[in-house]
Amino acid sequence: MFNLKFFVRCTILCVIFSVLSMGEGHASAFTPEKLMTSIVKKKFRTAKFTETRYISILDAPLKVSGVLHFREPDYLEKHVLLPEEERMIIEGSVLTMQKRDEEKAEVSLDDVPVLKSFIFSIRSVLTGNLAALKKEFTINLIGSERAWTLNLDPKNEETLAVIKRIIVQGRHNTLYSIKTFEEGGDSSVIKINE
Amino acid sequence: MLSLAVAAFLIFSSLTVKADLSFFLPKTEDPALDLLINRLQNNPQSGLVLMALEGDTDEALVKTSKAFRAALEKDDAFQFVLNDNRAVLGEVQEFLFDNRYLLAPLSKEDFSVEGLKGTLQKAVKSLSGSEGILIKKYLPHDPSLQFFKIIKGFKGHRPPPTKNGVWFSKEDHRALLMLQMNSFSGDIEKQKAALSKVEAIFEELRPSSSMKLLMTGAGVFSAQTGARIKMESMVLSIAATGAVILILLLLLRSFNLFLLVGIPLFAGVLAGIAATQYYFGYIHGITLAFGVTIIGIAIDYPLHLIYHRKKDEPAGQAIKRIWPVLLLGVLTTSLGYSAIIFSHFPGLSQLGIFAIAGLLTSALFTRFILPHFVQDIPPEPKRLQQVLDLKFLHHPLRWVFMVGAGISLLALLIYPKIWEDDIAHLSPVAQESIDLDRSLRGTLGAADVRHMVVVTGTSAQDALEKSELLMVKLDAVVTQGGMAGYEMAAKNMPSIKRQKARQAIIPPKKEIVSHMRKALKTAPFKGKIFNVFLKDIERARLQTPVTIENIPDSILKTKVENFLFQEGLDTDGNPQWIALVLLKDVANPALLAPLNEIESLYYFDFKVSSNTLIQEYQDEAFFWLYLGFGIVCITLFVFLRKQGGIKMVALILLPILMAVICTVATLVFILGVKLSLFHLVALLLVFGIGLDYSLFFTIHSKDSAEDRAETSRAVAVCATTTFTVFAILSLSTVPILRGIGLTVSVGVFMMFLSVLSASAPQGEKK
Repeated sequence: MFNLKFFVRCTILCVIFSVLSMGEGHASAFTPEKLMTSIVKKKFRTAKFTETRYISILDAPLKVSGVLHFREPDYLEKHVLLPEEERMIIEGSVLTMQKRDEEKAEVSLDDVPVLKSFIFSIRSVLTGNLAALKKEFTINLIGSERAWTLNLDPKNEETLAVIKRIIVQGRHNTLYSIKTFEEGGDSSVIKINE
Repeated sequence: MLSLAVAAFLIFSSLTVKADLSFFLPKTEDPALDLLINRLQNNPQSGLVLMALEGDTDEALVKTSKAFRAALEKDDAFQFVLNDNRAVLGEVQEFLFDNRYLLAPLSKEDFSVEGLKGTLQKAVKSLSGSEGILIKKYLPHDPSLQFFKIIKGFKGHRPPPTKNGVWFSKEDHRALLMLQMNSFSGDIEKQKAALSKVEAIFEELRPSSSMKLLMTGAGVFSAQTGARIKMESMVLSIAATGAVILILLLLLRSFNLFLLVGIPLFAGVLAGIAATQYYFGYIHGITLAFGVTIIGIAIDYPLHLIYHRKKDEPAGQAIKRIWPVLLLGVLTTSLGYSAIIFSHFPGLSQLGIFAIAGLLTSALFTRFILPHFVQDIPPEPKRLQQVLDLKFLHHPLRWVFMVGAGISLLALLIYPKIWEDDIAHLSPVAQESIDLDRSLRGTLGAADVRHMVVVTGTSAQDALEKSELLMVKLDAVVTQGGMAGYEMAAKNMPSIKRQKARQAIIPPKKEIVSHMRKALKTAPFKGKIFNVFLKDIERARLQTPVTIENIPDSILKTKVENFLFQEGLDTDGNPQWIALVLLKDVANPALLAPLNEIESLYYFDFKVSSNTLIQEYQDEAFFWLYLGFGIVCITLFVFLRKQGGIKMVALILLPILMAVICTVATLVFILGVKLSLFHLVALLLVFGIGLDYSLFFTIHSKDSAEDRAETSRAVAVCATTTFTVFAILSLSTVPILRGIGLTVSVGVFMMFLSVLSASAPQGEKK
């Protein structure tokens, strides 16, 4: 019953950060290993984002915007400002959600093993742990350092039932978009302005 | 002899022995309240077992918890096993979704154009919020998110902590599980079987000998306690019987004499069992064990016969001589016991019946049958006379007792805390089990059953309807901060009446379709996606209301059934339904008190109520004790009016009262005991025993020094056996048995010394 998709979405944020945090590697062959190394070097703090959700039951796409925060070692916050203020925080293995005028809701990621492994593996991107990332996704890095695309295909069946593919795109050490393709045809695009 | 054996066979073959906790549970004037206490103590969630694994590495505990759950799930004896926060709704999700418009409230305005507009606006907001991804699948069917309102009602305030997905208490290093057994309705034997199965399953997959399985819950308690009581009753009564046999054989040095002493007691026990079985339809294991101990004092009767018989005097003549005193003793003791027959503790009234029937039978047997059994009683062994010549004690002790009793009385009157005021301390459940239960309940967030409202009704629907009326009042208390919330069956399963009222609010399809069309004009949704909603709402309007029977087997169903059940009959003999309402974190009970004024409703703070009950029983017990005391005084006076009247009565009673006071003081000040109803009952027994002793001493004090010596020897033997029996009983770990054992052993000791010291000088003066 738990909000699986939502969690997956949160983990996507982690991906964003991971890629946002890329360092300025100038090595000859561009590999996921290099990407990871540069990620460890870059300390990301705050970035603005806009998200567009393409939902089949709506006439027009929905727009959501706000700010993302990251703090070492494992604090991640998505602060939505429009259309309705809302905060989502992942710290350690606890997820906290708070809407204006509503009570805080707290969930332990332990209770949702699929997402726990998902989020933890993404977090391992932030800490440069490629092995953990490879455990959860089939990784495919294409393009060059100037313009690269990282395709993440979930390996886990349960995750696959929610998310088909995540595509992260960037230039050098700057990440600019994350596209999520959901089961059922809906999708979303998050654009980041650091 | 043969007839006794036949009687024994007949009685034992028809015997129903119980070993549950009912012995310790008070009955009240109010049948509904009784029922509740019964249900609370024995049944509600009684199939629910909280389990903890400990004593290994965290990883091993987590792994075993998963394997344990899987193994238990395969067994039919268990309804469900839980060890994580996932899928708590499971199978019922579909049921809840299908019936969402009957299970949660909607208002008429929700179906107007404006209402629907508002709903759609909210829906768009939800889609852009964090929950958007979750709800979008449901929105076309359920634009007002009715289904999520229902689910919200199920979620606990804070889920239990987990490790690697399973419940785990990090402080105690325990993996936790919750098990619902099938064997429900308080059937101890079935529950025990199921519990042993749990243990066997654990044994099988236990990875190390250090890992332990802990279990708590009402069912576990009664199984554990029942087994302990049974074992203790057995071990202690065997030990006591053995000790008495040994003492008697040692003192009497004759097997014939021993038999002579034993037979009236045996007859008494048979009569006690028969009377209790006849009167109550069953006999409790404790009544049996403890009753035998109580009427063990019946061996005093033949002992008196043996010791008071003069040389070469035929038994028949000797018994005739001592019979008046013996009869007076038996009658007064029995009158004392009649007080507890009216007690609200079924165990105590059983004991009362058992004791009276047993004592009277033993006495009558000694008087009328025993002399025919043995025409010639062997003479009392010589050496005993020397051993038991206790003259040296007589004089100085009297003053010690007078001063001691005076000081004790004063101290007892001043000292404020001599009474036990917490019923929990009387519970036979071991303290460590209670502590464990509290800790597991705390971690798992399982409801504890201290504050509750009981709603009674003539049918399930009636009880539900009344619960629904109550909701308004309870909600008001929550708003005023009187409590955090409440749980009841009606919250999950509304009455048919309420469901029909909800259906009546839903407008016919045509009307909603037109309203929806208007509302959609201002909303960004694609045109026809809400057709499924229109279809669903029309179905809801016309469907048959659901009842508990429609809920698929699930935790939800079990929960509703635990909160709503048929139990017993009401005062008119109709089946009675009970809906329990558990109140959470009650901060201000005064706000709830007015609920008691509503008919067929009881607000109940279990702790306060049961402690109040205990208080009431104590007051009541005092009343009966005083009455019994009065009756004893009058009886004594009537019998003794020609032998000294009031002065004689005072002479008999004074040493007894002194001994009782000294006993209470010893218990309270030296042994640190808090007195309860059960100590009072034990004092009653002490009083009866003392009366026997005192009667013999005082009335026989007119006799020669030789006679007095006989009396003191007879009483010494009686006191020794009684003391031994109850000293053994005081080794029990069951608080009530230990209390009674302590009281009587201390009491008999005091009584013997007091009566002995008081009587002797009196005799010397005359």
